Amino acid sequence: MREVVCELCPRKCVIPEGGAGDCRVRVNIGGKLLASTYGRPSAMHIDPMEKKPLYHFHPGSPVFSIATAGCNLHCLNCQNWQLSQSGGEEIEEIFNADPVDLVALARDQGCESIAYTYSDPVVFYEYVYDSSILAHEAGMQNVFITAGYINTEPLRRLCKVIDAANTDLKAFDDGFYRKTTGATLQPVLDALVTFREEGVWLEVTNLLIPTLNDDLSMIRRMAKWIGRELGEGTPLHFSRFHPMYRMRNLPPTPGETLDRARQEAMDAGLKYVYVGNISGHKGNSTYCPVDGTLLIKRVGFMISEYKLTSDGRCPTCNEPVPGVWQ
Amino acid sequence: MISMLQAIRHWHSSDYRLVGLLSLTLVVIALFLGGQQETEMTGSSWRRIDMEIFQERLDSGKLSAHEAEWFHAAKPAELQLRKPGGTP
Repeated sequence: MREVVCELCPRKCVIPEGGAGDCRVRVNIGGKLLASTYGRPSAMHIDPMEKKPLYHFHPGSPVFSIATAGCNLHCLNCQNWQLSQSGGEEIEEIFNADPVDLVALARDQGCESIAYTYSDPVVFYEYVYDSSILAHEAGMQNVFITAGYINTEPLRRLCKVIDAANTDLKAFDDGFYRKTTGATLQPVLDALVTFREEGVWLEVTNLLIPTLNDDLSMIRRMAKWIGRELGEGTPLHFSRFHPMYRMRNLPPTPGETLDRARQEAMDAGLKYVYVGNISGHKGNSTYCPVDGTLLIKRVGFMISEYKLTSDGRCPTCNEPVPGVWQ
Repeated sequence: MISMLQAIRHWHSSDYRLVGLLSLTLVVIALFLGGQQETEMTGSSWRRIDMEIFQERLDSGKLSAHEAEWFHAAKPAELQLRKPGGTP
C-alpha cells in the first residue's frame, strides 16, 4: 500500500496511497508525499504589518501576505475557513507563483517583507522555506503567522530563514485545544520556546472567546508562563472574537473582558500587552513600561504618532523597547 | 436516601454481582475512551480526497507535484495507528 508518515506536525498522519494528511494538502502519490500547494497560493494581499499583528517589527511597513489552501487545525471559529478547511482539489482560486515569482512580485509591489499567513503556513512548509531563502537573498524579511502546531525539528530548520513570528496561543488549556481546534497545547508551547531559542522575533496572540477561554485565572497562568519562558518583553495581543464559521452561537468579546485580560497580564509582569480587533482602544498603542510615555499611537492598523527614538528607546527615560525597529 | 439503604440491605448476592459487573463495564469504557483521547492526535489522521480532480489539477499544473520534506515510509508498527476509512 506504500503508506507514508508525515513528520511535519504533531499529528504524524499515516497516509495511504491516494490519501491526504489531515491538513488536506500533503498528498501521498505512489509512496511519495507531495506538497501539493507549493508555489500555488490562493490568497495574496498587501497588508500593514500591524494586521498580522506584529507591533514591534518594522511598524507601519507594508507586507506581502500569502496563503495556500489547507490547515492542520480545525478551529470552530476559524476566520478563514473557506481557505483553511479546503484542499487543493476543492478551492476555486489558485495562483501560480513559484518562490522566484513570489519574491519578485512582492518586491515589485514595494514590500520589504513577505508574510506566510491566513491559513497555517506550517502546511506549506517547503514553499515558505524556499521562498524565505530567496527573500533573504533579495534583502527582504520573512514573517510567519502560525498556530505553532509543528514538530520541533522542522521548526528549528525553518527558524534559520524566518525573521519574525506571531504565534496564536489559543488558550492555556489542553481541553480547549482538543475541543475547539482539534489540536493539543504542549506542541504549541514547545514551538513558542523554539522561536525564542532560535532568535526569531516573537509576538503572541490570544483570541478571547466569551465563556470558553476568558477565565482570568487561566489568563494569569498564561501570562506568567510567557514571562518566565519567553520573557516579560514579549508582546501579547488579546484579540476580540467575532462569531464565525461553526461558532456563531457566542457573542463578540465584550470590551470589558479584553480590558480585564490586559490588566491581568500586565499585573502578571508582561510589559507590552495589546488589545486587537477594537479600533481606537487604548490597548492598540505602545507605552513605555517605565514612565508610561505614549510611544506608538495606533488607530486600527494605522500609526498616527511615532515617538520611539531611532534605536528603539523611550524619548523620555531612554528605556530600550524590545523589537526590530529599523 | 434511607429507602435506598433499606433496598441495599435486602440485596441478594446475585444483585452484588450485577452491580460489580456494571461497575467493571463502566471502568473498561472509561479506560477505553481515555486511551483513545491520548492517541487521537498521533498517526490516526488522514483524509480521503477526490483523486480524479486532484490528478487533473496536477496534470494541468494548477497544483504542484513538488516532493515534500519530513516524511518516511510507514513502518509496520505505525500502520497499526492508522484509522481505516479516513475522514472525508
